[in-house]
Amino acid sequence: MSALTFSGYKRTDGRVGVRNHVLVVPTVICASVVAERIANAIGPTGAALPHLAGCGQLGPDRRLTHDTLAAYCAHPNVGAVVVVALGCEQVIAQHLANTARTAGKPAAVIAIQSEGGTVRTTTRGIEIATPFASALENEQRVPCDVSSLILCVKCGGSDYTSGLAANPALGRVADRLVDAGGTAVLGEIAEIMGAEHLLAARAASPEPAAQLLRIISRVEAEAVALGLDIRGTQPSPGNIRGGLTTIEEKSLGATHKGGERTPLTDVVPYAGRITKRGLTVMDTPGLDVESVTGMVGGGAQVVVFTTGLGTPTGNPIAPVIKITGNAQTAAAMADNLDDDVSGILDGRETMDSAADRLMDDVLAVASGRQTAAERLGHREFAIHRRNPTI
Amino acid sequence: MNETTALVISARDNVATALQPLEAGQVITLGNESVTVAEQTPRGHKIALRLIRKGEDVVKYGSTIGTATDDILPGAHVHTHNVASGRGRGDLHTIAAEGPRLAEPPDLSPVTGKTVQ
Repeated sequence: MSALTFSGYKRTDGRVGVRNHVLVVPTVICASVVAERIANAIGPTGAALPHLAGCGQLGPDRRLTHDTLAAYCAHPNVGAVVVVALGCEQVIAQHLANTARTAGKPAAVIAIQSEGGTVRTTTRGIEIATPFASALENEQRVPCDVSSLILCVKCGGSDYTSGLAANPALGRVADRLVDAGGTAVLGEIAEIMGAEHLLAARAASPEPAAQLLRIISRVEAEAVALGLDIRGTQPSPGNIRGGLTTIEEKSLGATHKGGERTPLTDVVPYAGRITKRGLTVMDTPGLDVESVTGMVGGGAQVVVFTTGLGTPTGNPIAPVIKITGNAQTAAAMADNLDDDVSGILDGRETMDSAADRLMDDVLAVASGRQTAAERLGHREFAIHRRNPTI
Repeated sequence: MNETTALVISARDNVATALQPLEAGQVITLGNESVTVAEQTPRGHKIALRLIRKGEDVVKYGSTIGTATDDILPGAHVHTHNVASGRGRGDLHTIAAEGPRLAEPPDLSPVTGKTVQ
């Protein structure tokens, strides 16, 4: 046991949660509005996963939608699940409910076509979800070792301060967490491009290094096959105004947030379960919300998101802690931000003292402290898709 | 004072990042080196610490961030107008690297092996 602990929820499957939500999952876009109404009706314990998919999808995308929703049903930040189906879609509601039950959570399924429309289904859903919420709100947090944490490290709206202050400070938190037996997960393959040699050099074994280089090559080849210049999106126009010139520069700054000495132990697919301690890389796109959605799906309970220019992104079930190294942004977007590490660049504080404070933030938020994104109701959720809808 | 004007991250770097807006003629001292700012440079943008010849790697964080597309004079603003990325360039009809680069130790000799034409 390390000395670092937080108060969480121990699940019967051995995982540890930092929130205790009733998850209301629409199987398909057609059920999204009903799912959101049910979740909203039961207060902050309710969390809906409105999404755009669940039908008209083939092969890999169909699987990706199902597997991402199933990953949220099994997630340790979730205490109970209500699945809202339409009735004729591809994603199978019972599979999602069974995934939740296998993870030890109560689960129920309702369907709009069989309940008889929006009003009846919403009413029925609230009747089911309300006692779930009451039971979860009575559960007590217990002391948990920090080694049970999977921390999603993310950056977005990057500028020059991201790579110089916020990302290296977050990297020190990742180092300490992994030293204590925990796990960090890094996504956004396009934003590792140009820095992959640094991660590959600290791979725990040849396999994750080879996997990382393979998926980097694939993403690069995809841009090449489309005949497109990745500079159209990487770096973004805002990144370039902020002084970032190339994707390599952005990646080198971005990759700092995964730590300086964390061993690369695994590379997993989008929303794939994170099981190895150390640093995991997940194969996600660079779009913030799709990326966070995937890494939380993989099991991350807490997200630390660094931003130079400022961004509001949250998640339905995982707290997202926002930090900036840009003093102007800290003032201008104070309501979206949880911590300001701009003192690193003007000499007001050291990298280590910023990392100490950030580690305290992570443990406090894991123990229940609300983040800015949670207070403001930012619950962005988007499942990655690779192919057109049929 | 100078410590907060601009920042060099690795001894291998040939650029510094402006932590304040820089004016032409301003002299910046970074350790034993000094460089005269050649043109107005916004906060967060980069200036060359020495002559970077066309085709040479531009180095920040101790790794290459792209290739100079022109000779870049000491003190000049270094950005998209004189640096090109070599990665993900489908518009060039060639893959930027012949397969993935092998693992490189982080802070040894400058990175080589660009194959973009």
